[in-house]
Amino acid sequence: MSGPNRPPNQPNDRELQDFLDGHGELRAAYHADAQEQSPAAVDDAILRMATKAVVVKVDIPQRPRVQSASFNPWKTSLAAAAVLVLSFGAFLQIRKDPIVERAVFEPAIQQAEIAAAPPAMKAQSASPSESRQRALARAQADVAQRQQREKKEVSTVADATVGMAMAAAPAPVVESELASSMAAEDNVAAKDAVGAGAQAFAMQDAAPAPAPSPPAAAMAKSIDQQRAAPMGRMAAAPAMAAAESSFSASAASMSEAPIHRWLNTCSAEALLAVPSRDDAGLFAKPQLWNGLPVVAIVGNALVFDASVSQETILAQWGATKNAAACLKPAQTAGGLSLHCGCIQP
Amino acid sequence: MSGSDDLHTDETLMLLYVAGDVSAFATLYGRHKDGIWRYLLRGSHNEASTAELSQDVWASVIKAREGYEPRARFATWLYRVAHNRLVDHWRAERPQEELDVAAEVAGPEHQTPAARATQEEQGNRLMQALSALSVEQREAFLLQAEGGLSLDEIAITQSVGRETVKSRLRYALAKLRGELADVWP
Repeated sequence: MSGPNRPPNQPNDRELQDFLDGHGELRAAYHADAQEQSPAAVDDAILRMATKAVVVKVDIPQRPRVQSASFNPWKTSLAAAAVLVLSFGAFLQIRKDPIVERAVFEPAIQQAEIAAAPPAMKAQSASPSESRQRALARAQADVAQRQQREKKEVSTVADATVGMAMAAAPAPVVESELASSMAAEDNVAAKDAVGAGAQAFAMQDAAPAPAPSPPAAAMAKSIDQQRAAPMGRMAAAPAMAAAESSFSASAASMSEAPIHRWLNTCSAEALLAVPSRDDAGLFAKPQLWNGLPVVAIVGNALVFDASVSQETILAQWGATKNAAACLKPAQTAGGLSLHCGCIQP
Repeated sequence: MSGSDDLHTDETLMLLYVAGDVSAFATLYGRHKDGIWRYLLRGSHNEASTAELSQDVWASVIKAREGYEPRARFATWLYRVAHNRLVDHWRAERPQEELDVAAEVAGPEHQTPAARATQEEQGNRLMQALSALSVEQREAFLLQAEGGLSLDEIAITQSVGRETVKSRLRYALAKLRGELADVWP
């Protein structure tokens, strides 16, 4: 491999490969001669710059850590106690809610109300997109109204409960998310008439409650508003049948995998698989969760189509709860609760 | 510098620095400071400019600390920063300055074989030959020789295709070998 035996100035692939591999005479010759080093003054200046960049950042957080170190133990205990109080208080409130109880234990009243306004129901069945819009608007209104009711009825303990509700209760969390990130949807909720109250309750965290367990207050409020234009879970059998048949007919066009995968894996990847939504947060077309059509995800809650019954949802949730092991129930109150912390980073 | 830092990869050291470990940065700096210095020196042909460029390059590294994510090898990223800074330097300087510098170091062909043989070092001729290369060929050579970048990494740094980099390196090596053909052991 001596120089004079090789034609100079001719590309040599072997020489190139040797060079790339870190070998070769040229490389060795270069490194033997390339002995320049950066001056010490330059090194010092750069290292000072690097130190300064870190020192400026470290100073600020260190002081609070030192000051608050002694408070950590009881602060944590206080937070845990507040969460427990919150959970119990929210449970009691839901059980006491007359609207919720009425919705669960007096279906006959709703049957009559629904029968009084069949045209509205039929209109909603015929327009799924409008139904979904109303479902989402209803869910948002439910959350807002429940929040207001909680504020009125809470005692001294409940005040702390409400304060912690933003951290622990799924419904308040959902509402806070709505307030912060769905301003457009709030407008829709404000403007939308209380017309055909499409069935839309937020699925929030809960244990697999027994059948008579009341739904979330959000849904209760939804039912309350449905009196004016009843259309909902407790819809009359004919309307329900019509709605269900329409969904079964369109089931083939729906995609179940994204939401189910989201519930199973609770991963960011699965979240990305959630279909695109319009500006109001509604899916372009309903997605299936265990065969049940979901029209939107509000915060961490699933918003079902108006035709889906509470019992159906509870039954499905019970069947899949093992698969949704990633869920973190924040409260054990009865009702429709399905909470997954995956959407929130 | 702590001894344990020497066992870490460049990317880990940078992440440690992001977390506030200044000694990790010192280790990282120690690994690459001379390579970057020589790379910039060969490109600027001026120690004063090299000092300024070097500080600019490392200031960019320090500034990028907050949002640093090891998406590529640290060396690739570092030399890309250096390349970009060097390009800015060339654009700021008058173009003919580089040609003048190249003319100053060129010229072994005008010397007699005896004069060449008596030159201080074979390496000195190599450096002169390196300076006589085109900017792109010299850069490709230095990115590999100093930075240890692969063909693909050099391609990314120079914003050209892989085959273009291979071609540049082939001809750079051929020219350098040609300059030293008569004195090659």
